[in-house]
Amino acid sequence: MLVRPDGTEFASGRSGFLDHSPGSPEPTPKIFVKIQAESIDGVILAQLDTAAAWSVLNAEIAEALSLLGREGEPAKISTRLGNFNGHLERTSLAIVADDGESVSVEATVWVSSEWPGGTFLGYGGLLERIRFAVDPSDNSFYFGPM
Amino acid sequence: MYERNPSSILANWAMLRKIGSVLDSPLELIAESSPEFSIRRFRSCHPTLGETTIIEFTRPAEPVPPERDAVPFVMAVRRLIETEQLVAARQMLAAAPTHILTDPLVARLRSILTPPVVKRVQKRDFDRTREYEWLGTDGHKYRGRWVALDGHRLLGVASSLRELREQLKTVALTHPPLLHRVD
Repeated sequence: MLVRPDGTEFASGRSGFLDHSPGSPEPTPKIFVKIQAESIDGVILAQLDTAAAWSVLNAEIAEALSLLGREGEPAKISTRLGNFNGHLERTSLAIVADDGESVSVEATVWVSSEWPGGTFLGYGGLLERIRFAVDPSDNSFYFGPM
Repeated sequence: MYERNPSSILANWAMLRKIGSVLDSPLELIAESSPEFSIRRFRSCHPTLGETTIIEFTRPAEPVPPERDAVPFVMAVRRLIETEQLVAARQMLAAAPTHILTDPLVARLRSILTPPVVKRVQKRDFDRTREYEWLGTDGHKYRGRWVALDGHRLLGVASSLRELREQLKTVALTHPPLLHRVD
């Protein structure tokens, strides 16, 4: 799909991304990509956040994945919504492709029943092992395993 | 324990030296991390012949369970996690002395900090432009609620994801819907 200068593969999949917060009056540009989790029959939007140390799951999604109430590693995060106590847990998520191949990621995510925000894909524990590129000309998100 | 067991001193000294390659002030960090131990005097990082490294612990000379050895280490790794120093936390765990690897807290940290594992899968989605359009034009009417969409078709609305998934059990789905909480 995309190749590196030496001819090896860069990306194995492509999906369309959304460049703003859907349905929200919040006007700043963002990148929302589609993910799936094993036990949820549906596609979910997750915001790319390369500055985030951890990926964060919406509390209800974390609950649906049975990630709340487990004995994960305690961790605190500081966000624009405030400081929150939660846990780091391992879980499997898929970044789904419209073309090419999707990838599944066994990732470390931060979850908390107190978290009032959405779902974010952070660099640490998830994106750090994925090659990705953005084409804003047609809102394409290219991705693949390293 | 440290007074009565010289091999333990050497093992912990080796651990601290390894940690020293990761952190600027590992001893200070570990001492701060653990209320049970404090390092009262630390004369030299590189002792010369005839000079003995003196590390005194305030803890009385009573037997300490082996798992206690892991506590300062775990606290130091947690400090790195708190400050979002993931690489340093992994390096510190990689340098963990073998006798603490079976400690449940250390094992959990090693599992949690394992780099992500990425695999290709044949799963495929499709163009969701119509769902995105719906969210742009109608999404604001459902702020604070979960919606399930198939193209421009609203399959369900609920105040919680759990409720929405219950609703969807009664809907004949040809492919996975887009689930979204409108903020």
